[in-house]
Amino acid sequence: MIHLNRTVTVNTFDVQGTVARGQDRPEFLAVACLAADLDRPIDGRDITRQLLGSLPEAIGWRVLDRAVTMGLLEWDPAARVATLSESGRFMLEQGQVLVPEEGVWRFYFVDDPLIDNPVIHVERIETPNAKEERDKVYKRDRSNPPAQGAPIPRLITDSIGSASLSLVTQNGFELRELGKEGAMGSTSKLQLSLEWERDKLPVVSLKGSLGKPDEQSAMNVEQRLPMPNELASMIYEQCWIWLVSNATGISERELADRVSHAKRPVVPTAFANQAVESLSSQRTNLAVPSGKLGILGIFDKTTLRDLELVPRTPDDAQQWAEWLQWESLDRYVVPQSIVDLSATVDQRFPFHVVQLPDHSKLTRRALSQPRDKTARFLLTPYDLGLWS
Amino acid sequence: MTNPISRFATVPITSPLPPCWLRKGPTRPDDDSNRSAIVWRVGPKTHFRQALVQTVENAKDVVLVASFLLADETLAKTLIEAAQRGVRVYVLTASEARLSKVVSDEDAFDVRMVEEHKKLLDRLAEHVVLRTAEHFHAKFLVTDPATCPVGWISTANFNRALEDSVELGVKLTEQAAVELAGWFCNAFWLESDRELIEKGRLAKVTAPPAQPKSPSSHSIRVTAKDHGELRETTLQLIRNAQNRLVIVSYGVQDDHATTKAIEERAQAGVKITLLTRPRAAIAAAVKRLATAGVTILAHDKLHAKAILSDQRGLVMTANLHTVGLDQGFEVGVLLDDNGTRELDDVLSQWIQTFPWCYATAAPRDSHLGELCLADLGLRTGRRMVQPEIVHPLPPVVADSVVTMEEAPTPKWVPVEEKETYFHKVRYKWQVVPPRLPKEAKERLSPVVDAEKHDDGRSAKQGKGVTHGVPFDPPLYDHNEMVYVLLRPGDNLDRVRRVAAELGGKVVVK
Repeated sequence: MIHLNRTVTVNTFDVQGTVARGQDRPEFLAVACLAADLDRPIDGRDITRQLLGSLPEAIGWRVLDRAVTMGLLEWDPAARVATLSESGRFMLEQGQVLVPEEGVWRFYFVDDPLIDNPVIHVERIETPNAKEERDKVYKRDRSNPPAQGAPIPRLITDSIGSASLSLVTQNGFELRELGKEGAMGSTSKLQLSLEWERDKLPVVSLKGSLGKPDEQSAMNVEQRLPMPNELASMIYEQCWIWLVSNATGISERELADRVSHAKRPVVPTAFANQAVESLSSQRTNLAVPSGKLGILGIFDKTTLRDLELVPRTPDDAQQWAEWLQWESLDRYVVPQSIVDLSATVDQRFPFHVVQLPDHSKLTRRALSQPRDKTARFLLTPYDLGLWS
Repeated sequence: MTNPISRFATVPITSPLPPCWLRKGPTRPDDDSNRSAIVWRVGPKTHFRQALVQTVENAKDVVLVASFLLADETLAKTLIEAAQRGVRVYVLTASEARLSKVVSDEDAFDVRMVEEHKKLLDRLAEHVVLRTAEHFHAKFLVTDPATCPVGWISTANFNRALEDSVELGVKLTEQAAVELAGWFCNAFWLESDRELIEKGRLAKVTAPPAQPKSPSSHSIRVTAKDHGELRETTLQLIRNAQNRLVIVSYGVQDDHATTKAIEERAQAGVKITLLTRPRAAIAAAVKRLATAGVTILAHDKLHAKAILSDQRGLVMTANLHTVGLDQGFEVGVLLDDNGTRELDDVLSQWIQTFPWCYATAAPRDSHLGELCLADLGLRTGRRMVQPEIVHPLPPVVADSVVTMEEAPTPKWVPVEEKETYFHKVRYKWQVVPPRLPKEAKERLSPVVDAEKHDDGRSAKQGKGVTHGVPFDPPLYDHNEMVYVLLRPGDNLDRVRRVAAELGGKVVVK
């Protein structure tokens, strides 16, 4: 399991504009639903016949027109029909109709490769003379508006026309129109985490609080994000290899080869580099320093747990197997038990051919170090008549 | 003539001494000054211990040690040094449970021995592979059985018994050493209960990874699980004895087959000598054997076990007991001719020098000096036999002064023999003259005195005062008996005559 975290900065930008926000408008959702169900362009007649009962067809055309205005449908003037729009599909999924509102809005946005919709929340704010400002806007020559402040960040302008969900309220919204300039506001920090289990889809989530924590207006965020595009085409092993390479210094290519050969994530290691517990279990936890994970950005340090270790070279495999064989001698043995033990040890090195010492070699070793605690398990039955 | 007369009488005590060990000589340590080739003795020169130590010092690969108790400092140090230079040392010894029982049951062992044993095990913990079982009693040492076998069987535990006990050691042939090593392996794998894992910790053993081969038995005989050759050989030696049989054993069990076999051989006329140690535990057995005609000698410190049957010798670690010949882990070695001769020499010397001789019912006058009661043992049973005890009796009152010489002898009072026995009792008493009973009334002779006038003139005859006058010698009456009082200065003959005439008794006041 991969656990990655980083802190993301949420900026705010206040600007006047039109934002459609989700409302419960079942009558219009019914139109979207009709278009989805018929799976073809619809017109006023379809609406009249399917939804309005005995009302005149003109009413159906008016409803169609309203649905187009609200963005539920897209009008094809040549064919004089309308199809379900992307926004319409979104509204249908969310069960809310995005109803446009004009006003001054505060946009909360982030710039993070794992957050596809940078605008994560929008809220309407009322300035002291908001109504006057709105009137001024309508009366002004829109081709030459007066200067108001900072230019609108591109992350916001690029979101115009894309429906998304607020991570605070879970309500849908869609930027329809924005003024030319606005003002940058305060920032907040959220924790972004990526959790990825092998053979499963990754889960990206955001957690934290927008606004100042001591203010009553602070808004809690704890949401799983939609699958980021950057991750959609990535496989677990790829991410895993990046992390392990970062931690061990082993090249990604070598790691990729080993993983491909083993058909599972394995970490090649030198025999001399591991502690006794890891050598015995052939598993370890790996501390991964903070670093850039390719296109996924920079993450905080983390730990990959319970990684399978494999010998890096044939020499490592041989040393390791011999070590395991010796360390596994924890009871009195006879030659046949050594054969059985060796077979068991051999199976733990499926990617290498190891030649384990037979009982004669082990005995010679034990005789050269008779006071070794393991030597006793060989020498006692050897000396006391069980080997002959 | 009225002085008390002292009398004595010596009466022999005819009851025999109780079953006991009679001391025939001083108790001395065994003499180990002469070294033998095969059969060794234990003593102040400690040659046997030195031989064992030398054997361990010479070991190159493997040392096998078995001992019920293990507390010899020199041997322990040598074992540790052997381990430190790379020799593998294996030990079999008795379990703590067994040792605790033995302290309460046996007078040869004390609490200190057991404590020394436990301390030594702690010292050995990091250096040897050690296993225990309740029934491990054998004592032997084998080194390098696979390459250069040297072996010893000992009747002594490897503790201070190597110095101050009466024991036997046998230097084994190479073949016997190899056989014994095989039995060590058998006991290690199949009969042990626990293994010393670290200092102070014994863990239960698990099944061995393979079965050891069944050891051979050419000259070695063993009591082990499913093996009773030692018992069979012991019985065979006893039953086959035609002329002479010498048995050496610390323990002898009254109802064991070997005791019955010895009894039968004694009754058949075989000359049998049993060498043992005076202990209460063997009282019944030795009484039975002595009754059958076995000569039984003992030494305070005997612990050895051996059989010399005509020309065949066996030295073993088992006593003539169920726990030893029928159960347990014990070993013995059948000696060749040379070994048997050496054993014969040793046993002959022991027969000459052992301080105690058993007697079921020794006549009183057959022994003077120390003995040990058979049902008590040396710690509490030591007594003395002395020629005579003087026992005072109460005085005998003569019937009459004139018959003091003829006063009867008193009734003999049996003498209590607690710490000492005697050949005879010398009773002494006095004959004293009879005394005048207090209640006796003096007899007086009536005499009439003439009256006197006031002027002193006698009255007419026939007129006067009657009064009594004592007799000479004085006479008394009491209970229809006349007592004639003999006063100091009186003529005895005269008084005697008066008494005779009156039929009375002469008494004094």
